[in-house]
Amino acid sequence: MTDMTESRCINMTEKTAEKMTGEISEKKTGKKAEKTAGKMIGNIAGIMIGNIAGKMIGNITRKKQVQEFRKNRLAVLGVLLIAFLAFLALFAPLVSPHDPLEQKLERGLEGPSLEYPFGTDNLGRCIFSRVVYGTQVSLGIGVLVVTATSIAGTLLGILSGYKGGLFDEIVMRGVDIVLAFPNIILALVIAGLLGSGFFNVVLALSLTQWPVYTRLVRAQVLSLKKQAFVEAARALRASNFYIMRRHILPNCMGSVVVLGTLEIAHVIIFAAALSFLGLGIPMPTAEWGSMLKEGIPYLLSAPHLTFFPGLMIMLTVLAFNFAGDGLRDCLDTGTGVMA
Amino acid sequence: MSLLSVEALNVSFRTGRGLVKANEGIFLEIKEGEVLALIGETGCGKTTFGKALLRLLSKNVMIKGRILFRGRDLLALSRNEMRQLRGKEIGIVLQNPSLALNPVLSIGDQLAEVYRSHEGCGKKEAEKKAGEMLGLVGIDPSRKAEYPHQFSGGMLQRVMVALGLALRPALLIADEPTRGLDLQTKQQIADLISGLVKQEASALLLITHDLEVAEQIADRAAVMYAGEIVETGKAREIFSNPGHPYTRALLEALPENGLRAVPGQGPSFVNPPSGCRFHPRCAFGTESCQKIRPRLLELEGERQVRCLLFESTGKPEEIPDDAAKS
Repeated sequence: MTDMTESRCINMTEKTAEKMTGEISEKKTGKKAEKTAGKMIGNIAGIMIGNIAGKMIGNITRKKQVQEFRKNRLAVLGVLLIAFLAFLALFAPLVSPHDPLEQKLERGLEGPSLEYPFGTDNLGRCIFSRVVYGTQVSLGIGVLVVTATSIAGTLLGILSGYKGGLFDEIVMRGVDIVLAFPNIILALVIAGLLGSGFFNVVLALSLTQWPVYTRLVRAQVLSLKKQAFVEAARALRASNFYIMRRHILPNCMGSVVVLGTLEIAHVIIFAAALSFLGLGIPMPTAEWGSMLKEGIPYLLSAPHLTFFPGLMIMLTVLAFNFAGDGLRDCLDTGTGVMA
Repeated sequence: MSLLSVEALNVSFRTGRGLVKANEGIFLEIKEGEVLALIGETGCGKTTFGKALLRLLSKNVMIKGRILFRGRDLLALSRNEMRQLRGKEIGIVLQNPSLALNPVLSIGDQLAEVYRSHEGCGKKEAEKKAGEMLGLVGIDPSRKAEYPHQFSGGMLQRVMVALGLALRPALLIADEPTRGLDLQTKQQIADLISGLVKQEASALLLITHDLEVAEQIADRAAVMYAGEIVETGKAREIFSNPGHPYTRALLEALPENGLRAVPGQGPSFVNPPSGCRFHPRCAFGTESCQKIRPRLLELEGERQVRCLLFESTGKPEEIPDDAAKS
């Protein structure tokens, strides 16, 4: 019995591999134009990131930074992957062949075929479509949480680092409290209290992730505010608010951007983990974590149920990590926080 | 009428080692359009004095006395009033331009910001003014989009001068503007500052340990030792005919005068020596120097000297030259 399932399993993966290579070769011959377009998008993305980075850190000229970023193959690969994922998320209805929620019970647990590129799950839903739609959820959560936490965390960090005193004490003890718990436990508690749902997940993750930025930024502010150029600004009538906005904030931005990019990966894994544990995105919605969970009972008989969502999580996280590492290298901020 | 008049200024810092008395009993005057050089060795309290004028010192500072600027006591102003005055009426060129400029902002931006925040200029106008100011200090205005790291030390010092003079202050404090520059660049910066100050009719407080520069551009000079003014007077007279033994020692330490260093080290600011603060290092010291604290004596020709040797005669007793060596 086990032998049979195993052989079927191997068969299946072989088939999938064939299908996939077939697809790729088809793309190569048939869609050259699309490939060059993809390359262009990658280049544009690279230049955009380089530009933003260059604006924030004037240490190296922009051109040089873009060049350095583009020399880093992994980073460029990461940006290309992110661009591809963003494309999937934005154009999910166009890319996916089926409705991700449509069930065809009689066609459950089918392997990959032309009709269902990634096969079907136990309820006969198209896994490919579900994976594509899942991109929306995962990227959405990642971007939302990181935007919210990086803004709030940076503001708190700047204020507490610059002002010091009681305010600093209160904020930093808050940071300590949140960081004292393992992230996942705290997120579980919050998500458990709030119930599942997209915005509750965003909230739960935001509440656990903000201290990372606060601590990083505060540490930088502590050294920045002693710099001579802050004193020089004060000698030219600058107010505290002005110094924070024009002198401190731009000097912190480089590392916040790098940390944010790496944090997106972190947050996406987290969101998937919450869903996997049943506290994330509620059932019918296509989400990579909950797809993994639904696939668990069929891990041996129909591994494609878990393989593809898992692959997507891995690719997304890798993409953001590559891009983040590349950014860190070309901005040379050396945050060291993620290590 | 004097532009700035400092009366009995005491600046001290509360530290773990005790009270550090960085400036004690300072009386100093700067007239409109005058160049006053404040000279003394590193660590004697010159910079502290300059920053005290703008109240730019750290939080653990205690300032006593009066700093009258155009009749207003700066120490009595509110923080906001003080802020309005900085840059606009008293400008400062801080030490070490490579640290005093923000590395992530272009120099044009940093200069334009001054005009935007002080004079409410629009973006275009501020940029135009910034370009003019850069031209004035001898930097090609087309370089305004460049960042501090792309400039040499001398060029950065020019940028600092531009920042300090941007709003045409009535008094410019220049803290070691020629430090770390080679002879030619030093000359250029000194000429630039004195030229601009004359052109704008600003007064200049030149804080420096560079006697050559001080001699060249200063009208008057004040010599500081261990937080006290030990001698003031017309710059030419001080350099040609130094009164206080410390001033003499400073001049003797110049390369052309034999590079003879002042023996010993600067005194502690927590427990300064008794009597005259210079007596442990003084070549002319007598026993009474250890006990009596000399006052700042008024001599002829706007000259002031803080030394017991002048007490009786108004002139230092004649001491043979070799006494200085022993």
